[in-house]
Amino acid sequence: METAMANWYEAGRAHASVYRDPEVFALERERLFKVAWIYVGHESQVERPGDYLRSELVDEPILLVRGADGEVRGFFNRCPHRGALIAREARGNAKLLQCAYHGWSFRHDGALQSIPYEEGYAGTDLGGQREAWGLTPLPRFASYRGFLFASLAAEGPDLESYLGPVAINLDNMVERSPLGKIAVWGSRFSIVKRNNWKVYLENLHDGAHALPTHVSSIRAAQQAIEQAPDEWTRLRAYIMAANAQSPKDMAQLPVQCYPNGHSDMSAFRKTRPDTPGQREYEEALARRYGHDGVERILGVDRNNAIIYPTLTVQPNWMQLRLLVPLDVETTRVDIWIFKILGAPEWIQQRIRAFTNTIHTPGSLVRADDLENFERVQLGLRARSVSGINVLREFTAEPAGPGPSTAMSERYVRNQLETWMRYMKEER
Amino acid sequence: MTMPTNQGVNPVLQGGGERDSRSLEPKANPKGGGAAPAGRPELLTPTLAELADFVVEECERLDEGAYESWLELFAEDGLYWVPLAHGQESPDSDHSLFSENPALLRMRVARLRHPAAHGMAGPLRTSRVVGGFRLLEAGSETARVSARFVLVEYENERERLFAGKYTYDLRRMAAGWRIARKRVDLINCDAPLASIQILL
Repeated sequence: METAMANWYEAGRAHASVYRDPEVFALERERLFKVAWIYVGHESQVERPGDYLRSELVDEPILLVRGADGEVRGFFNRCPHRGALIAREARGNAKLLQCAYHGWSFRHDGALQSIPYEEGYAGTDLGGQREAWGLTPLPRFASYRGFLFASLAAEGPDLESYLGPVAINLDNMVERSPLGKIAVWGSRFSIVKRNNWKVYLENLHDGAHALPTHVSSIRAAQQAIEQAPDEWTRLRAYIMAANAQSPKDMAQLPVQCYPNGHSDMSAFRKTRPDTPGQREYEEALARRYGHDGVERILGVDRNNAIIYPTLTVQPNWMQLRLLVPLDVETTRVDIWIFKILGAPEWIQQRIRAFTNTIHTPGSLVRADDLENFERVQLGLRARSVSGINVLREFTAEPAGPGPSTAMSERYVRNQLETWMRYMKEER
Repeated sequence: MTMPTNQGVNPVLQGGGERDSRSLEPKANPKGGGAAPAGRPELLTPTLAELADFVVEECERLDEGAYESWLELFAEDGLYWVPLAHGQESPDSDHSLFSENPALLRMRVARLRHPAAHGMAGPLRTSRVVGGFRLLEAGSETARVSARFVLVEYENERERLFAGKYTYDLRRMAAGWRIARKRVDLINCDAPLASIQILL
């Protein structure tokens, strides 16, 4: 280690090694990523019996399968024989899960179905304990309203208590559907970032970065709004121009910090335009929830949320981002967009306009974020200097649960305090 | 900011070089024969060579960083489209890496030109080779041509390779052939990708 754990973080000051030391990263895997609940998929990706989805739990290959009983189960994606991946393709449907190498096959509940030349195992413990030779189930696996999470720790808080109040963001995504049903929509985006995973999380509610970082796309977007030939072009430009809000405006945007490092940010972009499409959507919602229900659901108005440590959510735009830390300086982010089942086409198009503007690797907004994240990573290589600070609107009490705004770095302190708690805990 | 500006980079692109600056203008196919009716030259179906010239010119403008003159090659209702999914049917059938009309492309170029476009602080250059031209449809007013490409991006001392297929839907307009849609199929469209600031 570059420096002792006691020096990693205290009271708004972090040591740069927290972001650049490969040994810290290795310890994060053991004490944080393999302990916390990690998002691994959505039920709509394994809709029918026999549907399976290849996924990852941090850096371990896993497999989600829906059985004939309707239950979705999670297993390590490896054959108990010699360890080959059972599923190589991203998803599929199969009567039996069969290993491509020696043909061992398994049922949807993971139980061993057959082994070619099983008599060759006579006299081994396979004969007596056939049921123990199935796929290995994940230590813990749970669904929150269709969002599937897993943990490599056999013990710990259940998913619902782990999420706590931040779950409102997942609730809100589901409730935005007039049928109470959403589904992964289309292909996922996947972005490679040249920065430590924390650098991205620590930017998510940061109102102070918007103007300096995004000045180039803001100016371009403001011109484009004026010259937009149609509604969707104007929306796409507006989405980028929202970064033009002044520090004073940003200080009005509520950011809530929750236990376990979670947080969310409200408002930011106007999401209920006065258009026929929006009215049609709200009427469809009202048929299920009533007008008060519509006000409650759309009034949640969360721009984004962090489900610490690897999931971020944009309920207003029906989108999830999963961080996959690859090494101490590289992070992959996979992005899924959700379809609001039972909603008019206009609202889906609106989500697509946002998606194609913000979530593509071609995004003008992202380009300058990623550049600055990389600059952080490169600057922190100055090993002779150790400190960084997250002191904006610092107060002495724990950052833990409590309110702040988009101009405060409290949510970053909340993450780092949580991070320290995990890192200190030996297992 | 190290991107070349539109001014004075390449005389060819400004129509001042040795190359036939009228190559993008509508012209009659000399091999097509037949006298034009009085008053206006007859517009005949384009040759593959004529459209291949157009594609090479379009790529040259991008590689020279002459984005403003590149934009001029688009019809005002044109589309620059890079599918996210392999074999994607349309921009409406899935999300897209890029799905931008000229208004959005102008916004993109304006951001590239902004002095504080942080992502453009280091050198960012491209060079592409196009070949395997195929004339898929050719009418007197519209045409479709495809080409294979290999593109090397140089950014901040890193090289990155892009490869795939261009498919152009072209429309003959008063000023010459214009792009109704440029489709770029990347062979790795569905892979994890780092930020793409260049125009493919």
